Amino acid sequence: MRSVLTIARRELSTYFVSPLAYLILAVFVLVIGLSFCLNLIAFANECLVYGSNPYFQQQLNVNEQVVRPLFGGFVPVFLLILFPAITMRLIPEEKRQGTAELILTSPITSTQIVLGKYLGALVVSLIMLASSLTFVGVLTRVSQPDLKSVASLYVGVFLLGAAFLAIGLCLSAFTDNQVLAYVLGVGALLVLWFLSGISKSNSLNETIGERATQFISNLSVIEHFPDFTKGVVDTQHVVYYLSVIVLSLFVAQRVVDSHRWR
Amino acid sequence: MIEVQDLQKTYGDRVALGGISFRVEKGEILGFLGPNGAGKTTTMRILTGFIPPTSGSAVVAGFDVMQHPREVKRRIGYLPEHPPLYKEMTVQSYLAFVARIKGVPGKTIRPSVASALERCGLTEVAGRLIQNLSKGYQQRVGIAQAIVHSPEVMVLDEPTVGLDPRQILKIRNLIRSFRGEKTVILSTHIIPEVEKLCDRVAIINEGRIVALDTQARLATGLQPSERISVQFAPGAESMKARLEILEGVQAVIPEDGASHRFLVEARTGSGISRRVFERAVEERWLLVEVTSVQPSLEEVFLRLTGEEKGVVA
Repeated sequence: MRSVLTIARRELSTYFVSPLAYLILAVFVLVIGLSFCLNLIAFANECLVYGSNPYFQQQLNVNEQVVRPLFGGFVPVFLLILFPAITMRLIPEEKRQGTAELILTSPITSTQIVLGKYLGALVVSLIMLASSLTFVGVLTRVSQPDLKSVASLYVGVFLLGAAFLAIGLCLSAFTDNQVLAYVLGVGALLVLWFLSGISKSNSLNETIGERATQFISNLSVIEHFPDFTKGVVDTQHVVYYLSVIVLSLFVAQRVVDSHRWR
Repeated sequence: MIEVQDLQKTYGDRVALGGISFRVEKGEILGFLGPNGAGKTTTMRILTGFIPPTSGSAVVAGFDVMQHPREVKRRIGYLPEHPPLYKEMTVQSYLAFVARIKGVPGKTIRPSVASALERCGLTEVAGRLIQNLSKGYQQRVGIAQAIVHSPEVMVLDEPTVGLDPRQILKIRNLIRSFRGEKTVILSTHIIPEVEKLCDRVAIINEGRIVALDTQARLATGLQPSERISVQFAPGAESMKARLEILEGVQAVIPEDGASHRFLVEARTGSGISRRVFERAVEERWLLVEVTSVQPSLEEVFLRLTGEEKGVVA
């Protein structure tokens, strides 16, 4: 465990020595802040116009109109584009710098190496998520959002991000080129994302059967996300994301280990 | 301390190591000498557990490299050909990181790092980023990284490559200071380095050890003939002919174009220098100097790895 933390700490400090982590954080805060402002102003206007009408008042819901569109619509896309940038250097950089020779001739296991690196990336994503808590803070001052569903939203975004990072780390283990690692990461996530559309295709439903298409779209990374935005933390979705993480890290560990035995 | 038995490594059809065996005793410095691509780095990578051998065994500090890799790795300090540096870190934090992953207990990390810094002359640059250091300093950080966990065995792959003469001198002094205390294997293709640093030399060529001995014995053992250089005082006449008739002499070669300095080659074991002395006394030659000529390690190396290698090996 100590070795895992040592590796994770070094990774984390590397992120904050280079501009990469700051850049990702800045873009995230900027875009989410803008979108939050616009949603909030729009919501406030609606409240002013319709607030006096008891019928419409029922329809006004700060969770539905400010929080959910923010995290539901834009954040997964953001993660898809930027998280592979967090993971792309994790393993290729070691090979390029020759430090792989140091790490692999040290008395630590490849599992510890992979877990350490993953943990480092995960902490970056947590810092990023934490920075958006300011907006929730602002919201609680001006309104009464349902904090339980906000919490479920955060759990969902965290799990989605954690799965993206695991997939990115896994793919970065296959190459010693960072650009390639990034493209592989985004590409794989896009494919996994669009699997969700398969069950909506009628012709496919007819040819291979609805159960098959349903199964395939259940493999999609995004298919399991919307329930979290509705304030529901469903075990099957949690299990899905955890499985993706474990599987990806397992493959990454095998690939790193195979460097020893070539 | 290190015992290697019939180590082989093949990459597909290409044979990188064709079965090498050697022993290194505790406190000894063994030099690997060989042309590029001879198998020096491959051997070192196997010893440090970076790659596995195809067959054969290697035991380091009593532990088999294949069976107990973690025990071996704890006891080896390794400087690869390109020092494995995280250039965005400071020297101090880098060494602390290495100490941690090498398993140095938490309490002793600080003193371990401090002593590695001091020993490698890095104390003044401890707080600087590695990327801002000169190549010589970076190489020293590489060596500090290899000693920070006080290993019993050190494996140094071309520790002085690409440095200027002053830096080379400093690194050599550093390595020399390990003699007797740590067991060191170092590889190089610079011959004077081996002559200056190593107790024994292994000459490696095309994946095999073609010679392994102390430098002096390597040189004499490979000498096909006994050679001495003889110098007479000016004025001595027709000395060449007089030397040629001595028993066992195979050739007399005038040196420097002067007529009173010769290289005498004689049959091994013919005691040529004694004969020259005796004759000089008898005939009152004006002898100025008689020196025995050792072939240099360079000659040995070239002979063993060059075109004639088939003859000797």
